[in-house]
Amino acid sequence: LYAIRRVYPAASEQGDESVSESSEQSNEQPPEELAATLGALLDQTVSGDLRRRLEPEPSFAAERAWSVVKSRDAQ
Amino acid sequence: VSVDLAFASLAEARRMLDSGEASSVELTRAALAQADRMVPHTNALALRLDERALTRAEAADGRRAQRSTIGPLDGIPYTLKDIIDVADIPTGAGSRLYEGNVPTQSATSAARLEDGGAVLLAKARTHEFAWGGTTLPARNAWDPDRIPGGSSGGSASSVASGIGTFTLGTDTAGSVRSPANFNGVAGLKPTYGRIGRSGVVPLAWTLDTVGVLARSVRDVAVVYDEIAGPDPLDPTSVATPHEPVAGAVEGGAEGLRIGVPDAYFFETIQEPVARTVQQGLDALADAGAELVELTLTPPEAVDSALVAAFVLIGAESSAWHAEWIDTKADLYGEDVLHYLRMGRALLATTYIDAVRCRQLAVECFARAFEQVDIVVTPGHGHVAPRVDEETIVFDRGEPEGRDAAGVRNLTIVNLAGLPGLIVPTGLAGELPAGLQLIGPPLSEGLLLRVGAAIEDRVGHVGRRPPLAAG
Repeated sequence: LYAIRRVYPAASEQGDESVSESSEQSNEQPPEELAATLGALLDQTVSGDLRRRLEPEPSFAAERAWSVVKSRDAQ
Repeated sequence: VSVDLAFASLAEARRMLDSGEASSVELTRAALAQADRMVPHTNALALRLDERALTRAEAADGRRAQRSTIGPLDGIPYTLKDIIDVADIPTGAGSRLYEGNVPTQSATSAARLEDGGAVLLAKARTHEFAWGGTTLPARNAWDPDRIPGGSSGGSASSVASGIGTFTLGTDTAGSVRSPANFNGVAGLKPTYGRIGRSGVVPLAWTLDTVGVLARSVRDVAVVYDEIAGPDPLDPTSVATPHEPVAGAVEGGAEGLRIGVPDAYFFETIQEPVARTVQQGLDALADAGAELVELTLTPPEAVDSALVAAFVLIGAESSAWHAEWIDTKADLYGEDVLHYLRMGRALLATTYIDAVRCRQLAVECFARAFEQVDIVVTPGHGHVAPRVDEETIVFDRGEPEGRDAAGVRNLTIVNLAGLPGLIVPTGLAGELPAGLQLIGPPLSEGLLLRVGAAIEDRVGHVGRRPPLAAG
Protein backbone atom coordinates (compact mmCIF):
# COMPACT_ATOMS: atom_id res chain seq x y z
CA LEU A 1 0.00 0.00 0.00
CA TYR A 2 2.71 2.46 0.85
CA ALA A 3 5.65 3.76 -1.11
CA ILE A 4 8.04 2.36 1.39
CA ARG A 5 11.13 2.34 -0.78
CA ARG A 6 10.79 6.04 -1.47
CA VAL A 7 9.79 7.04 2.05
CA TYR A 8 12.56 4.98 3.59
CA PRO A 9 15.50 5.22 1.17
CA ALA A 10 17.99 4.40 3.90
CA ALA A 11 16.35 1.07 4.56
CA SER A 12 16.46 0.14 0.90
CA GLU A 13 20.05 1.16 0.58
CA GLN A 14 20.93 -1.09 3.48
CA GLY A 15 19.69 -3.97 1.39
CA ASP A 16 17.39 -5.24 4.09
CA GLU A 17 14.76 -7.11 2.12
CA SER A 18 12.33 -7.00 4.99
CA VAL A 19 12.04 -3.25 4.75
CA SER A 20 12.56 -2.63 1.06
CA GLU A 21 9.30 -3.69 -0.49
CA SER A 22 7.83 -1.18 -2.91
CA SER A 23 4.28 0.01 -2.56
CA GLU A 24 2.32 -2.32 -4.80
CA GLN A 25 4.27 -5.32 -3.62
CA SER A 26 2.73 -4.79 -0.18
CA ASN A 27 -0.62 -5.81 -1.62
CA GLU A 28 0.88 -9.12 -2.62
CA GLN A 29 2.87 -9.75 0.55
CA PRO A 30 1.25 -12.23 2.92
CA PRO A 31 -0.40 -10.31 5.79
CA GLU A 32 2.09 -11.57 8.35
CA GLU A 33 5.05 -10.48 6.22
CA LEU A 34 3.48 -7.08 5.61
CA ALA A 35 2.94 -6.66 9.35
CA ALA A 36 6.57 -7.55 9.99
CA THR A 37 7.71 -5.10 7.32
CA LEU A 38 5.71 -2.30 8.90
CA GLY A 39 7.05 -3.19 12.33
CA ALA A 40 10.63 -3.08 11.04
CA LEU A 41 10.04 0.30 9.45
CA LEU A 42 8.65 1.89 12.58
CA ASP A 43 11.32 0.23 14.69
CA GLN A 44 13.87 1.92 12.45
CA THR A 45 12.15 5.31 12.88
CA VAL A 46 11.58 5.13 16.61
CA SER A 47 15.15 4.35 17.54
CA GLY A 48 17.73 5.70 19.95
CA ASP A 49 16.74 8.95 21.63
CA LEU A 50 13.24 8.93 20.12
CA ARG A 51 12.46 5.55 21.70
CA ARG A 52 13.36 6.96 25.11
CA ARG A 53 11.82 10.39 24.61
CA LEU A 54 8.48 9.58 23.02
CA GLU A 55 6.03 8.35 25.59
CA PRO A 56 3.08 6.81 23.79
CA GLU A 57 -0.42 8.10 24.44
CA PRO A 58 -2.78 5.28 23.65
CA SER A 59 -5.81 7.31 24.75
CA PHE A 60 -5.03 9.98 22.18
CA ALA A 61 -6.99 13.21 22.12
CA ALA A 62 -5.92 16.06 19.85
CA GLU A 63 -6.26 18.87 22.39
CA ARG A 64 -4.47 16.95 25.11
CA ALA A 65 -1.69 15.83 22.80
CA TRP A 66 -1.29 19.38 21.65
CA SER A 67 -1.02 20.81 25.13
CA VAL A 68 1.49 18.13 26.15
CA VAL A 69 3.79 19.09 23.30
CA LYS A 70 3.40 22.80 23.92
CA SER A 71 4.10 22.42 27.62
CA ARG A 72 7.16 20.27 27.05
CA ASP A 73 8.59 22.61 24.43
CA ALA A 74 8.12 25.53 26.81
CA GLN A 75 10.25 23.84 29.48
CA VAL B 1 -36.29 19.99 -14.23
CA SER B 2 -33.57 22.62 -14.16
CA VAL B 3 -29.96 21.51 -13.90
CA ASP B 4 -29.19 25.02 -12.66
CA LEU B 5 -31.45 24.35 -9.68
CA ALA B 6 -29.50 21.19 -8.84
CA PHE B 7 -26.22 23.12 -8.92
CA ALA B 8 -27.47 26.08 -6.88
CA SER B 9 -25.21 27.03 -4.01
CA LEU B 10 -26.58 26.78 -0.51
CA ALA B 11 -26.96 30.54 -0.33
CA GLU B 12 -28.77 30.60 -3.69
CA ALA B 13 -31.02 27.73 -2.66
CA ARG B 14 -31.94 29.48 0.60
CA ARG B 15 -32.64 32.73 -1.25
CA MET B 16 -34.90 30.91 -3.71
CA LEU B 17 -36.71 29.13 -0.90
CA ASP B 18 -37.18 32.35 1.04
CA SER B 19 -38.40 34.30 -2.00
CA GLY B 20 -40.68 31.53 -3.22
CA GLU B 21 -38.72 31.29 -6.46
CA ALA B 22 -38.29 27.57 -5.78
CA SER B 23 -39.65 25.08 -3.28
CA SER B 24 -37.82 22.34 -1.42
CA VAL B 25 -39.76 19.82 -3.49
CA GLU B 26 -38.42 21.46 -6.66
CA LEU B 27 -34.86 21.46 -5.31
CA THR B 28 -35.26 17.82 -4.37
CA ARG B 29 -36.70 16.84 -7.75
CA ALA B 30 -33.84 18.64 -9.47
CA ALA B 31 -31.28 16.73 -7.38
CA LEU B 32 -33.03 13.43 -8.04
CA ALA B 33 -33.08 14.22 -11.77
CA GLN B 34 -29.32 14.69 -11.57
CA ALA B 35 -29.11 11.28 -9.92
CA ASP B 36 -31.11 9.84 -12.85
CA ARG B 37 -28.70 11.52 -15.25
CA MET B 38 -25.39 10.78 -13.52
CA VAL B 39 -25.66 7.54 -11.54
CA PRO B 40 -25.73 5.37 -14.70
CA HIS B 41 -22.26 6.83 -15.36
CA THR B 42 -20.89 7.17 -11.81
CA ASN B 43 -22.67 4.46 -9.79
CA ALA B 44 -22.12 6.81 -6.86
CA LEU B 45 -25.19 5.96 -4.79
CA ALA B 46 -25.74 2.90 -2.63
CA LEU B 47 -29.38 3.52 -1.73
CA ARG B 48 -31.85 6.07 -3.08
CA LEU B 49 -34.59 7.41 -0.82
CA ASP B 50 -36.71 9.32 -3.36
CA GLU B 51 -40.09 8.90 -1.70
CA ARG B 52 -38.85 9.72 1.79
CA ALA B 53 -36.96 12.73 0.43
CA LEU B 54 -40.00 14.17 -1.33
CA THR B 55 -42.12 13.68 1.78
CA ARG B 56 -39.58 15.54 3.89
CA ALA B 57 -39.28 18.25 1.25
CA GLU B 58 -43.05 18.76 1.34
CA ALA B 59 -42.86 19.06 5.12
CA ALA B 60 -40.09 21.66 4.79
CA ASP B 61 -42.20 23.63 2.32
CA GLY B 62 -45.07 23.47 4.79
CA ARG B 63 -42.90 24.88 7.56
CA ARG B 64 -41.71 27.66 5.29
CA ALA B 65 -45.28 28.53 4.34
CA GLN B 66 -46.05 28.86 8.04
CA ARG B 67 -42.85 30.90 8.62
CA SER B 68 -41.55 28.24 10.99
CA THR B 69 -38.37 27.03 9.29
CA ILE B 70 -36.03 25.26 11.67
CA GLY B 71 -32.58 26.29 10.50
CA PRO B 72 -30.38 27.17 7.54
CA LEU B 73 -30.55 23.67 6.09
CA ASP B 74 -34.33 23.29 6.27
CA GLY B 75 -35.47 21.92 2.91
CA ILE B 76 -31.93 21.55 1.52
CA PRO B 77 -31.20 18.18 -0.20
CA TYR B 78 -28.08 16.22 0.71
CA THR B 79 -26.51 12.75 0.74
CA LEU B 80 -24.67 10.75 3.41
CA LYS B 81 -21.81 8.30 3.14
CA ASP B 82 -23.19 4.83 3.69
CA ILE B 83 -21.35 4.22 6.95
CA ILE B 84 -23.23 6.99 8.76
CA ASP B 85 -26.37 5.68 10.44
CA VAL B 86 -29.85 7.08 10.02
CA ALA B 87 -32.51 5.40 12.12
CA ASP B 88 -34.60 2.88 10.18
CA ILE B 89 -32.59 3.28 6.97
CA PRO B 90 -30.12 0.52 6.02
CA THR B 91 -26.43 1.20 6.51
CA GLY B 92 -24.55 -0.98 4.04
CA ALA B 93 -20.95 0.10 4.71
CA GLY B 94 -20.12 -1.07 1.21
CA SER B 95 -19.98 -4.64 2.46
CA ARG B 96 -21.90 -7.88 2.02
CA LEU B 97 -21.30 -8.30 5.75
CA TYR B 98 -23.75 -5.51 6.45
CA GLU B 99 -26.58 -6.71 4.22
CA GLY B 100 -29.81 -6.29 6.16
CA ASN B 101 -28.25 -3.99 8.76
CA VAL B 102 -30.81 -1.39 9.79
CA PRO B 103 -29.78 0.87 12.69
CA THR B 104 -32.33 1.99 15.23
CA GLN B 105 -30.53 5.21 16.13
CA SER B 106 -29.11 7.97 13.97
CA ALA B 107 -25.51 9.13 14.11
CA THR B 108 -25.21 12.40 16.00
CA SER B 109 -24.11 14.20 12.83
CA ALA B 110 -27.00 12.79 10.81
CA ALA B 111 -29.49 13.51 13.59
CA ARG B 112 -28.46 17.16 13.61
CA LEU B 113 -29.11 17.40 9.88
CA GLU B 114 -32.42 15.58 10.11
CA ASP B 115 -33.51 17.70 13.08
CA GLY B 116 -32.55 20.77 11.07
CA GLY B 117 -34.93 19.84 8.27
CA ALA B 118 -32.35 18.84 5.65
CA VAL B 119 -33.65 16.40 3.03
CA LEU B 120 -31.73 13.13 2.74
CA LEU B 121 -31.72 12.02 -0.90
CA ALA B 122 -29.60 8.89 -0.73
CA LYS B 123 -26.80 6.98 0.94
CA ALA B 124 -23.61 7.40 -1.07
CA ARG B 125 -21.17 4.61 -1.86
CA THR B 126 -18.21 4.02 0.41
CA HIS B 127 -15.17 1.82 -0.04
CA GLU B 128 -15.92 -1.30 2.01
CA PHE B 129 -15.85 -0.26 5.69
CA ALA B 130 -14.00 2.88 4.53
CA TRP B 131 -10.84 0.76 4.22
CA GLY B 132 -9.56 1.87 0.82
CA GLY B 133 -9.08 4.66 -1.66
CA THR B 134 -11.02 3.73 -4.80
CA THR B 135 -14.71 3.26 -3.82
CA LEU B 136 -15.19 1.08 -6.89
CA PRO B 137 -17.60 0.50 -8.54
CA ALA B 138 -18.31 4.23 -8.05
CA ARG B 139 -16.70 6.52 -10.60
CA ASN B 140 -15.42 10.06 -10.85
CA ALA B 141 -17.96 12.75 -11.75
CA TRP B 142 -15.57 14.39 -14.22
CA ASP B 143 -14.58 11.22 -16.05
CA PRO B 144 -16.29 7.88 -15.40
CA ASP B 145 -13.19 6.07 -16.62
CA ARG B 146 -11.46 7.31 -13.46
CA ILE B 147 -11.80 6.51 -9.77
CA PRO B 148 -13.62 8.97 -7.53
CA GLY B 149 -11.05 8.47 -4.78
CA GLY B 150 -11.97 7.16 -1.41
CA SER B 151 -13.24 6.13 0.82
CA SER B 152 -15.97 8.82 0.57
CA GLY B 153 -15.89 8.50 -3.21
CA GLY B 154 -19.64 8.21 -3.66
CA SER B 155 -20.20 11.32 -1.57
CA ALA B 156 -17.72 13.42 -3.54
CA SER B 157 -18.84 12.18 -6.95
CA SER B 158 -22.50 12.80 -6.02
CA VAL B 159 -22.15 16.36 -4.83
CA ALA B 160 -19.87 17.22 -7.77
CA SER B 161 -22.66 15.90 -10.01
CA GLY B 162 -25.32 18.15 -8.51
CA ILE B 163 -26.90 15.35 -6.48
CA GLY B 164 -27.56 17.36 -3.35
CA THR B 165 -26.15 20.64 -2.10
CA PHE B 166 -23.73 18.97 0.31
CA THR B 167 -22.76 15.58 1.66
CA LEU B 168 -21.05 14.06 4.67
CA GLY B 169 -18.12 11.68 4.49
CA THR B 170 -15.56 10.32 6.91
CA ASP B 171 -11.82 10.88 6.97
CA THR B 172 -9.43 8.49 8.71
CA ALA B 173 -6.38 8.87 6.48
CA GLY B 174 -7.65 11.32 3.84
CA SER B 175 -11.02 9.83 2.93
CA VAL B 176 -12.90 13.13 2.69
CA ARG B 177 -10.09 15.20 1.23
CA SER B 178 -8.83 12.75 -1.40
CA PRO B 179 -12.17 12.28 -3.18
CA ALA B 180 -13.00 15.97 -2.72
CA ASN B 181 -9.80 16.88 -4.53
CA PHE B 182 -10.33 14.31 -7.29
CA ASN B 183 -13.90 15.50 -7.89
CA GLY B 184 -13.27 19.25 -7.66
CA VAL B 185 -15.30 20.02 -4.54
CA ALA B 186 -14.40 21.54 -1.19
CA GLY B 187 -13.85 19.04 1.62
CA LEU B 188 -13.29 19.69 5.32
CA LYS B 189 -11.74 17.18 7.70
CA PRO B 190 -12.25 18.75 11.13
CA THR B 191 -10.10 18.56 14.24
CA TYR B 192 -10.31 15.06 15.70
CA GLY B 193 -13.35 15.03 18.00
CA ARG B 194 -14.94 18.27 16.72
CA ILE B 195 -17.80 16.47 14.92
CA GLY B 196 -19.23 13.51 16.82
CA ARG B 197 -18.35 10.01 15.66
CA SER B 198 -21.23 8.24 17.36
CA GLY B 199 -23.37 6.24 14.95
CA VAL B 200 -20.59 5.99 12.36
CA VAL B 201 -19.18 2.55 11.55
CA PRO B 202 -15.62 2.85 12.87
CA LEU B 203 -12.51 2.19 10.86
CA ALA B 204 -9.89 3.34 13.40
CA TRP B 205 -11.22 5.01 16.54
CA THR B 206 -8.23 7.22 17.17
CA LEU B 207 -8.17 8.65 13.66
CA ASP B 208 -11.78 8.67 12.43
CA THR B 209 -13.49 12.00 11.75
CA VAL B 210 -16.74 13.01 10.08
CA GLY B 211 -16.27 15.65 7.38
CA VAL B 212 -18.27 17.89 5.05
CA LEU B 213 -18.09 18.14 1.26
CA ALA B 214 -19.83 20.76 -0.91
CA ARG B 215 -19.32 22.64 -4.14
CA SER B 216 -17.97 25.68 -2.32
CA VAL B 217 -16.07 26.47 0.85
CA ARG B 218 -18.87 28.78 1.94
CA ASP B 219 -21.41 25.95 1.73
CA VAL B 220 -19.09 23.70 3.75
CA ALA B 221 -18.91 26.37 6.47
CA VAL B 222 -22.69 26.54 6.91
CA VAL B 223 -23.06 22.76 7.15
CA TYR B 224 -20.08 22.47 9.49
CA ASP B 225 -21.70 24.94 11.89
CA GLU B 226 -24.83 22.78 12.00
CA ILE B 227 -23.09 19.55 13.00
CA ALA B 228 -19.95 20.56 14.91
CA GLY B 229 -19.79 20.58 18.69
CA PRO B 230 -19.73 18.23 21.65
CA ASP B 231 -21.24 14.79 21.12
CA PRO B 232 -22.27 13.25 24.43
CA LEU B 233 -22.20 9.80 22.83
CA ASP B 234 -18.60 10.11 21.61
CA PRO B 235 -15.97 9.72 24.36
CA THR B 236 -13.36 11.45 22.21
CA SER B 237 -15.55 14.45 21.45
CA VAL B 238 -13.96 17.85 22.05
CA ALA B 239 -15.74 19.35 25.06
CA THR B 240 -15.31 22.98 24.02
CA PRO B 241 -18.55 24.44 22.64
CA HIS B 242 -18.47 25.12 18.91
CA GLU B 243 -18.16 28.77 17.88
CA PRO B 244 -19.96 29.31 14.55
CA VAL B 245 -17.61 30.09 11.67
CA ALA B 246 -19.81 30.73 8.63
CA GLY B 247 -20.37 34.37 9.57
CA ALA B 248 -16.63 35.06 9.49
CA VAL B 249 -15.85 33.29 6.23
CA GLU B 250 -15.52 36.59 4.34
CA GLY B 251 -12.59 37.71 6.49
CA GLY B 252 -9.96 37.17 3.79
CA ALA B 253 -6.30 36.22 4.10
CA GLU B 254 -4.67 39.65 4.45
CA GLY B 255 -1.57 39.56 6.63
CA LEU B 256 -1.62 35.84 7.32
CA ARG B 257 1.61 33.85 7.16
CA ILE B 258 1.15 30.77 5.01
CA GLY B 259 3.79 28.05 5.33
CA VAL B 260 4.81 26.26 2.12
CA PRO B 261 6.77 23.11 3.04
CA ASP B 262 10.18 22.91 1.39
CA ALA B 263 10.21 19.11 1.24
CA TYR B 264 8.05 16.04 0.68
CA PHE B 265 4.68 17.59 -0.26
CA PHE B 266 5.82 19.29 -3.45
CA GLU B 267 8.35 16.63 -4.44
CA THR B 268 6.04 14.41 -6.45
CA ILE B 269 3.77 16.46 -8.66
CA GLN B 270 2.74 16.31 -12.30
CA GLU B 271 3.29 19.50 -14.28
CA PRO B 272 -0.39 20.29 -15.10
CA VAL B 273 -1.25 19.83 -11.41
CA ALA B 274 1.69 22.03 -10.38
CA ARG B 275 0.33 24.85 -12.55
CA THR B 276 -3.12 24.55 -10.99
CA VAL B 277 -1.65 24.44 -7.49
CA GLN B 278 0.41 27.53 -8.33
CA GLN B 279 -2.84 29.35 -9.20
CA GLY B 280 -3.95 28.70 -5.64
CA LEU B 281 -0.69 29.98 -4.19
CA ASP B 282 -0.91 33.06 -6.42
CA ALA B 283 -4.44 33.60 -5.15
CA LEU B 284 -3.19 33.57 -1.58
CA ALA B 285 -0.54 36.16 -2.41
CA ASP B 286 -3.13 38.24 -4.25
CA ALA B 287 -5.32 38.10 -1.14
CA GLY B 288 -2.51 39.70 0.86
CA ALA B 289 -1.11 36.61 2.56
CA GLU B 290 2.61 36.18 3.01
CA LEU B 291 3.92 32.87 1.64
CA VAL B 292 6.77 31.56 3.76
CA GLU B 293 9.05 28.62 2.95
CA LEU B 294 8.72 26.19 5.83
CA THR B 295 10.92 23.33 7.02
CA LEU B 296 8.89 20.73 8.89
CA THR B 297 10.87 19.10 11.69
CA PRO B 298 11.70 16.51 12.71
CA PRO B 299 11.80 15.00 9.21
CA GLU B 300 10.98 11.58 10.68
CA ALA B 301 7.52 12.92 11.49
CA VAL B 302 6.68 13.39 7.82
CA ASP B 303 8.53 10.33 6.57
CA SER B 304 6.89 7.93 9.00
CA ALA B 305 3.34 9.27 8.89
CA LEU B 306 1.91 6.96 6.23
CA VAL B 307 3.30 3.81 7.78
CA ALA B 308 2.31 4.87 11.30
CA ALA B 309 -1.26 5.58 10.23
CA PHE B 310 -1.42 2.29 8.30
CA VAL B 311 -0.38 0.45 11.46
CA LEU B 312 -2.94 2.29 13.64
CA ILE B 313 -5.71 1.63 11.13
CA GLY B 314 -4.67 -1.98 10.65
CA ALA B 315 -4.54 -2.73 14.36
CA GLU B 316 -7.68 -0.85 15.36
CA SER B 317 -9.79 -2.10 12.46
CA SER B 318 -8.72 -5.71 12.99
CA ALA B 319 -9.65 -5.38 16.66
CA TRP B 320 -13.11 -4.13 15.70
CA HIS B 321 -13.65 -6.84 13.06
CA ALA B 322 -11.86 -9.54 15.08
CA GLU B 323 -14.33 -12.42 15.18
CA TRP B 324 -15.52 -11.89 11.60
CA ILE B 325 -12.05 -12.09 10.06
CA ASP B 326 -12.23 -15.87 10.31
CA THR B 327 -15.93 -16.62 10.59
CA LYS B 328 -17.12 -14.35 7.78
CA ALA B 329 -13.99 -14.07 5.69
CA ASP B 330 -15.84 -14.90 2.48
CA LEU B 331 -18.03 -11.83 2.86
CA TYR B 332 -15.15 -9.33 2.77
CA GLY B 333 -13.54 -7.93 -0.32
CA GLU B 334 -10.09 -9.34 -0.97
CA ASP B 335 -8.28 -6.06 -0.26
CA VAL B 336 -10.04 -5.36 3.03
CA LEU B 337 -9.59 -8.91 4.29
CA HIS B 338 -5.88 -8.69 3.47
CA TYR B 339 -5.46 -5.52 5.53
CA LEU B 340 -7.52 -6.87 8.42
CA ARG B 341 -5.33 -9.95 8.54
CA MET B 342 -2.26 -7.73 8.40
CA GLY B 343 -3.60 -5.70 11.31
CA ARG B 344 -4.13 -8.83 13.37
CA ALA B 345 -0.53 -9.88 12.77
CA LEU B 346 0.98 -6.62 14.02
CA LEU B 347 2.97 -6.70 17.23
CA ALA B 348 1.74 -4.60 20.13
CA THR B 349 5.11 -2.87 20.13
CA THR B 350 4.57 -1.89 16.51
CA TYR B 351 1.28 -0.25 17.49
CA ILE B 352 3.06 1.58 20.30
CA ASP B 353 5.73 2.76 17.88
CA ALA B 354 2.98 4.09 15.62
CA VAL B 355 1.53 6.02 18.56
CA ARG B 356 5.01 7.43 19.18
CA CYS B 357 5.13 8.55 15.56
CA ARG B 358 1.82 10.32 16.12
CA GLN B 359 3.50 12.35 18.85
CA LEU B 360 6.21 13.22 16.34
CA ALA B 361 3.54 14.51 13.96
CA VAL B 362 2.01 16.65 16.71
CA GLU B 363 5.44 18.07 17.55
CA CYS B 364 6.13 18.77 13.90
CA PHE B 365 3.01 20.87 13.41
CA ALA B 366 3.10 22.51 16.84
CA ARG B 367 6.51 23.92 15.89
CA ALA B 368 5.31 24.86 12.40
CA PHE B 369 2.43 26.89 13.81
CA GLU B 370 4.83 28.90 15.93
CA GLN B 371 6.13 30.26 12.60
CA VAL B 372 3.05 30.39 10.38
CA ASP B 373 -0.73 30.62 10.68
CA ILE B 374 -1.52 27.76 8.34
CA VAL B 375 0.37 25.28 6.16
CA VAL B 376 -0.51 24.71 2.50
CA THR B 377 0.21 21.64 0.37
CA PRO B 378 -1.09 20.24 -2.91
CA GLY B 379 -4.13 18.01 -2.34
CA HIS B 380 -2.47 15.49 -4.64
CA GLY B 381 0.44 15.62 -7.04
CA HIS B 382 -1.72 13.98 -9.70
CA VAL B 383 -5.26 13.94 -11.07
CA ALA B 384 -7.76 11.15 -10.43
CA PRO B 385 -6.25 7.93 -11.79
CA ARG B 386 -7.92 5.82 -14.45
CA VAL B 387 -9.64 2.74 -13.05
CA ASP B 388 -6.88 0.49 -14.41
CA GLU B 389 -4.02 2.81 -13.41
CA GLU B 390 -2.43 1.18 -10.37
CA THR B 391 0.84 3.11 -10.42
CA ILE B 392 1.19 6.89 -10.55
CA VAL B 393 4.17 8.27 -12.47
CA PHE B 394 5.44 11.71 -11.51
CA ASP B 395 7.72 14.09 -13.37
CA ARG B 396 10.47 13.28 -10.88
CA GLY B 397 10.91 10.79 -8.10
CA GLU B 398 9.86 7.18 -8.17
CA PRO B 399 6.41 6.00 -9.23
CA GLU B 400 3.99 5.43 -6.36
CA GLY B 401 1.17 3.00 -5.83
CA ARG B 402 -2.28 4.45 -6.46
CA ASP B 403 -3.51 4.15 -2.87
CA ALA B 404 -0.31 5.58 -1.39
CA ALA B 405 -0.28 8.50 -3.80
CA GLY B 406 -3.94 9.14 -3.00
CA VAL B 407 -3.24 9.96 0.64
CA ARG B 408 0.48 10.80 0.82
CA ASN B 409 -0.15 14.52 1.45
CA LEU B 410 -3.18 13.99 3.65
CA THR B 411 -2.62 11.29 6.26
CA ILE B 412 -0.23 13.19 8.52
CA VAL B 413 -3.10 15.60 9.21
CA ASN B 414 -5.14 12.73 10.67
CA LEU B 415 -2.15 11.51 12.62
CA ALA B 416 -1.74 14.91 14.29
CA GLY B 417 -5.51 15.31 14.84
CA LEU B 418 -5.59 18.59 12.89
CA PRO B 419 -8.19 20.15 10.59
CA GLY B 420 -7.52 20.06 6.85
CA LEU B 421 -9.46 21.67 4.02
CA ILE B 422 -9.36 20.90 0.30
CA VAL B 423 -9.92 23.95 -1.90
CA PRO B 424 -10.21 23.26 -5.64
CA THR B 425 -8.03 25.67 -7.60
CA GLY B 426 -8.97 24.74 -11.16
CA LEU B 427 -8.57 22.09 -13.82
CA ALA B 428 -5.32 20.36 -14.67
CA GLY B 429 -6.17 19.53 -18.24
CA GLU B 430 -9.77 18.38 -17.93
CA LEU B 431 -9.64 17.16 -14.34
CA PRO B 432 -9.78 19.01 -11.00
CA ALA B 433 -6.83 19.74 -8.75
CA GLY B 434 -6.50 21.80 -5.60
CA LEU B 435 -4.78 22.81 -2.42
CA GLN B 436 -4.90 21.44 1.10
CA LEU B 437 -4.89 23.95 3.95
CA ILE B 438 -3.80 22.65 7.37
CA GLY B 439 -4.28 24.56 10.63
CA PRO B 440 -3.87 24.18 14.40
CA PRO B 441 -6.55 22.34 16.39
CA LEU B 442 -9.97 23.98 16.16
CA SER B 443 -8.87 26.43 13.46
CA GLU B 444 -11.59 25.33 11.03
CA GLY B 445 -12.91 28.90 10.84
CA LEU B 446 -9.51 30.21 9.78
CA LEU B 447 -9.12 27.51 7.14
CA LEU B 448 -12.57 28.19 5.72
CA ARG B 449 -11.88 31.91 5.66
CA VAL B 450 -8.64 31.45 3.74
CA GLY B 451 -10.29 28.86 1.51
CA ALA B 452 -13.00 31.34 0.59
CA ALA B 453 -10.35 33.93 -0.31
CA ILE B 454 -8.75 31.41 -2.67
CA GLU B 455 -12.10 30.37 -4.06
CA ASP B 456 -12.94 33.98 -4.93
CA ARG B 457 -9.80 34.31 -7.03
CA VAL B 458 -9.44 31.02 -8.91
CA GLY B 459 -12.90 30.91 -10.46
CA HIS B 460 -13.54 27.19 -10.01
CA VAL B 461 -16.89 27.40 -8.21
CA GLY B 462 -19.64 27.02 -10.78
CA ARG B 463 -17.70 24.68 -13.07
CA ARG B 464 -19.66 21.52 -13.75
CA PRO B 465 -18.48 18.09 -14.85
CA PRO B 466 -19.22 17.72 -18.58
CA LEU B 467 -21.69 14.85 -18.18
CA ALA B 468 -23.53 16.68 -15.40
CA ALA B 469 -23.76 20.04 -17.10
CA GLY B 470 -27.04 19.40 -18.88
